[in-house]
Amino acid sequence: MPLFSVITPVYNPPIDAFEACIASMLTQTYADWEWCLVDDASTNPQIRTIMERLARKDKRVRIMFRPKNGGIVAASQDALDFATGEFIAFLDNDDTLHPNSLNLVSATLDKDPTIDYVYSDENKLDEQGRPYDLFRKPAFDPIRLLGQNYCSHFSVIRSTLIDDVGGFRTGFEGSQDYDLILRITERARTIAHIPEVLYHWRAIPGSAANQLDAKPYALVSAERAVKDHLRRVKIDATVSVSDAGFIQVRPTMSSPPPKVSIIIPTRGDGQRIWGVHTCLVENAVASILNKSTYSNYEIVVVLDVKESKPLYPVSLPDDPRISVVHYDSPFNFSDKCNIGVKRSTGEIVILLNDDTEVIDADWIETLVSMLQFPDVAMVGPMLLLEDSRIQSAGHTNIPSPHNIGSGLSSNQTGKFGMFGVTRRVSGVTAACAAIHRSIYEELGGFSIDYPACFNDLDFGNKILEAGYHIVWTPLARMYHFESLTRDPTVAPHEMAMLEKRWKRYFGREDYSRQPA
Amino acid sequence: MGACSKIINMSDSGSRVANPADLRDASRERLLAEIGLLQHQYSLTDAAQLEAQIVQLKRELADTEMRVLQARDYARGCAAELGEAQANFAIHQQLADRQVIQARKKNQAIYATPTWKMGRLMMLPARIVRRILKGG
Repeated sequence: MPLFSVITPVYNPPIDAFEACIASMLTQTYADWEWCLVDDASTNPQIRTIMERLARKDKRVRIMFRPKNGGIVAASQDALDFATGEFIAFLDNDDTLHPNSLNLVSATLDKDPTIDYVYSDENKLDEQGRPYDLFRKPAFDPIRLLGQNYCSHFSVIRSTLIDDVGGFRTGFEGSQDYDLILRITERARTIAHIPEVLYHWRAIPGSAANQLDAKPYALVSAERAVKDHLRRVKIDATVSVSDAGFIQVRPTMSSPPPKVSIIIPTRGDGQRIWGVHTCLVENAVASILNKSTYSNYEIVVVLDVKESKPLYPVSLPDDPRISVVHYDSPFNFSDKCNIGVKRSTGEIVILLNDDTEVIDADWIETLVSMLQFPDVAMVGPMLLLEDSRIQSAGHTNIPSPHNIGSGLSSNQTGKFGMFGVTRRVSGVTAACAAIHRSIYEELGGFSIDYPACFNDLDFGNKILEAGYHIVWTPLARMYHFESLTRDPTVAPHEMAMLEKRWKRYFGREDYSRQPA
Repeated sequence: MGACSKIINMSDSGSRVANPADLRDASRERLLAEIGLLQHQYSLTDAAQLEAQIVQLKRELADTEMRVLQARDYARGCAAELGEAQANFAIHQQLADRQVIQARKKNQAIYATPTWKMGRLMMLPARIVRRILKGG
């Protein structure tokens, strides 16, 4: 039963919000806590009165008054300095905790003594105290943490670890908690996520909960915190801030850049794209050749030559980087991918449908660079439909395996930025996926038991089962004129096969728990 | 061939080589014979045949590589199916455990009823008689 020190810097909170905060602490079902409140020279005299009355009422409440305002970092650090608990929990002066928060954290810590950091799901409260914006967070995802401080509230950290990393740092105002969490995750032995809403973040005018640009300086601090973190963990990367306020990290390409093999299985079909009848594979290849800025690649087109219906006459440019492999067996997408990979020579393989078209010129650089994150086996881009709605932003297993964000606007960043940040997912569609060749071969490639559907879902599960990770990124975008080339009907035996192998994971999801 | 047969004969008899020039001639003869043999073999297998063999071997190698890939997938698939079976087993075991607990609770409830207790009391003489008979 650890002693929790709850840290709360106080500065002129709305009185009713502050009292709700106090009530939520005093009604905790777990008793072994102390509450360290540091007033940062609030100008409202009522605050002092409330704090003094509170300290008299409950001996577990410890208060301190700073003689002059020093900002949130100084106040938080003062609170940390006089905390004595084994674990430090963070509570803002206008937010509230669920009555079972500390109890559930304690129960989680009991399960594993190596847990150094725990975070939970959260929601927001409007000015009337009504809950909204329930944020169901993923399991710990260090890649998503580079894009946004999704762990945030409710965070509970082992106090010795906070001492080890040096507590809060000045110069990171507005993102001091993000900076601390980044440093903590570098050293934590185990990080646990409690999939319960333990924290209610009050959205009041001027609060960061309400609008991202309320504290523009926070973004500058966040960018610097991420740069510092990457320097410490020795990942060479470029860091920038997106228009939507997310941190964008692109690992620097290894030198010389690896050879990339782009495998395009095709029957040579033609369809109407952008209002013009087009041979799909010709269009895909032309878009790669004309738009891509990456130089070290080859294209392997695996062309069916045994289809009964007449094929569109495929005419590919005379380019030494392009080779065509004839496939004379009955249609099997997986087999075609495997043959294409075997006939290619690149260190990195990109599986690409023929009904795709490049949007971002640096798409290969982006996908390949993301593969440099540790243990990442496969990376997928943002796939858009012809009308620029999202076709796929990765896969999720909730409630059953499907594309995330399908049919939604790509102008939105999605709930909690899920369309705006690079993050781990449980799978990506094989319409465009970059994979390490060695891992593709290690896992046996695509299973030929799935000739048309679910081959990518099966492969994604094989990757996760082998202990690797899959990443989806919005920093590379492709058009995917989905299912133009074949009947989208699912064969029952393919579904049966998928269930036979992976049904235990349906409805369960570590990464994309947010419905989309 | 004359020199060659001469050497064989000499070695058979265990005597020494009389003239070293004969030995040199014999070696030369043998080398010429072997070269002739190789030239004959090469004329039988022309370059086109060799190329066809290489193509065939490459095809076999590619087929083998595909079979290795499929075998790996098969192994991963079997492991996945085993995982699925284990997960199902765990679910069924939990269900069975729960059913056993429920059945036990139901039994306890039955034992606690007055009907059961009265019936047990009424059957007491019969149980005593049965025990005596068994003991006898």
